[in-house]
Amino acid sequence: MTKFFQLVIAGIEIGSIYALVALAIVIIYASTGLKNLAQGEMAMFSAFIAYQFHAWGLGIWLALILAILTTFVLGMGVQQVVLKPVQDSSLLTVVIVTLGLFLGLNSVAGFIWGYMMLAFPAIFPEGAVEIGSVGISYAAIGVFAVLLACAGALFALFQFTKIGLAMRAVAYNKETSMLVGVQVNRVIMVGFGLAASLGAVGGIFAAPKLFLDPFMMLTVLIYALASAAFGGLDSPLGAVIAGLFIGVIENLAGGYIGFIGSDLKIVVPLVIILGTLLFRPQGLLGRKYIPRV
Amino acid sequence: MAKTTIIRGTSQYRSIVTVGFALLGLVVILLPFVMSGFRTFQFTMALLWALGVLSLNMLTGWSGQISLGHSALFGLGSYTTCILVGTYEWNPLLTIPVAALVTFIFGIMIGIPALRLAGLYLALMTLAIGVAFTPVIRRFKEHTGGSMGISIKKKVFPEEIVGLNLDQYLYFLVVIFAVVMFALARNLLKSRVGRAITAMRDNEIPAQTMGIYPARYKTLIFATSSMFAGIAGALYAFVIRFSAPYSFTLTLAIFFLAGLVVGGIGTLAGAVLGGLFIQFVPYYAEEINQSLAGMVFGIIIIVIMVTAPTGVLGLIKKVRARVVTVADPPVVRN
Repeated sequence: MTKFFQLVIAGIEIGSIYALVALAIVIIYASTGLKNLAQGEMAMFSAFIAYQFHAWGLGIWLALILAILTTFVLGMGVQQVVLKPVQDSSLLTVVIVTLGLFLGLNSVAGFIWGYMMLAFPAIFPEGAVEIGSVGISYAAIGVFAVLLACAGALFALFQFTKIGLAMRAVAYNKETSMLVGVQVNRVIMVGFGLAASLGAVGGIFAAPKLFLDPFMMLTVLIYALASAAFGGLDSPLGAVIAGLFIGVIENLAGGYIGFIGSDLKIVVPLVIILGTLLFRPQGLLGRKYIPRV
Repeated sequence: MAKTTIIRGTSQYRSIVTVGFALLGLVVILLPFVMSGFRTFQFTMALLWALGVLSLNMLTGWSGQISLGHSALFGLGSYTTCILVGTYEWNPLLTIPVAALVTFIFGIMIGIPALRLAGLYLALMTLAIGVAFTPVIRRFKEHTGGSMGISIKKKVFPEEIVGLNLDQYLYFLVVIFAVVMFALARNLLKSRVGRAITAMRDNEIPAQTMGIYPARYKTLIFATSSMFAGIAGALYAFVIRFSAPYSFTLTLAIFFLAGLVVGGIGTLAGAVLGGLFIQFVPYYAEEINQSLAGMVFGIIIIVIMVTAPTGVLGLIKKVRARVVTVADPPVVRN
């Protein structure tokens, strides 16, 4: 049983990262219908920014807060410059443009910081809480707490603030929102910044575990996309639940099914995407979409 | 300057097209005798990428489905040839049909669930396949050589074949395959199947009401596209004589997509332009900096999609339209 609980805890730790990136994807999808395949790379970039601030001598917490704020601005910039022109284009255009962004960010990060793995400083103290024979590391508790805090803050933002209300309105119906006086473009821009920051939180907290290199978020992106699909593309709560679930399942499958091991873990999100599409295409908590002629 | 008008189907139009193709053919045939061995190799590679872009074009350009897993299909073809030749000592040429069959079947396997997917989910699923390919290859290292890759010995190819050295032989082999595959693709597009596929792309529901059965055609085009990618991959194994998991990553899939966008989505000639682009831009860019190729690709993709979605071929056509007008023959009403 110790092994089981240990795997579940490791799963929750990595699942929190998936959930954060999935949240970022879901927020953008819900408000613009745009699926940002570069979300992982943007998060990777933020982790590098945090690394850079730290390397310049700032404390780690200050560095990561500054990096998240920088990312908020960068995210809005990316939306204005790159994604706004193609926002209402066909899916093909959007996918290609976000992949261009993916490749561009990846190369720029490689250009600035190189392709060698860099060690990211630990954010939480070493050590673990012992419950019986199961050790829960401070890092796992910390990351999970960060996820809960972000999700809580997001919920509060959506429910109790004016901008949150505007975001929900835009997500529900863009044209109607425009008619009642919501500044749709500005709301989308802020939403993008917000999503980029959430991704940044995921990237930064993933960095001490995954090490820092331009490809660090590639597999995280796949898991996050699977979480978003599984939880329902327009449901933030679904993204959180699904992210944690996928993290746990992936670890259990890797730990108990010898054939899967650590290499084939990547097949888990694939199976989950497939299963979702076959049995519940709108995802766990998503809105059902009915095509009209 | 007075603009001339050329009408399709007239003898004038035909002779221009014939002369054009004859000149192109002459250049293609003379190229390996004029250029050095290394240049010949580069053009061989460009043609291989062009075949990869063509395979993606059949799927994305014609039927509007998005695949980010074509790197994996290309790799599957390459591994099939490498394993059969390297481990089981087959004659290389015999491995091509096997690679085609394997990727065709694999394409059906992806294509069937793909039927249920709107474009977005297909992109997701193929993305996962593209990313999963490398770890899966590593996992079965007893067959694939794991991270070290698997190679083909040079001596399986004779040193000189009908007076051509190996570089030239491989070049002509790839040229022949390319000509046949491009012709097949063109004929498929012009056939009943091609019309059905483009009709589905443009609007699925009306297409269905016209009696087109989406499931059948979507699976068919997916499988055919996979097979083309697989054959290109098998030929790649001939030329490089090596398959490693890191040659077939998501980056390659994005490069195919970039080639498609640059050349012009949905066009055959655009695939060739795309292949040349994939081969030569990174080659010169990486002389300056290792990361430059990726940056250039990323920026070019975005700029083209935003400003000139028809790609380079579209621009060429625009320029041509200023000089001559190519028109369809007038419709005769009775």
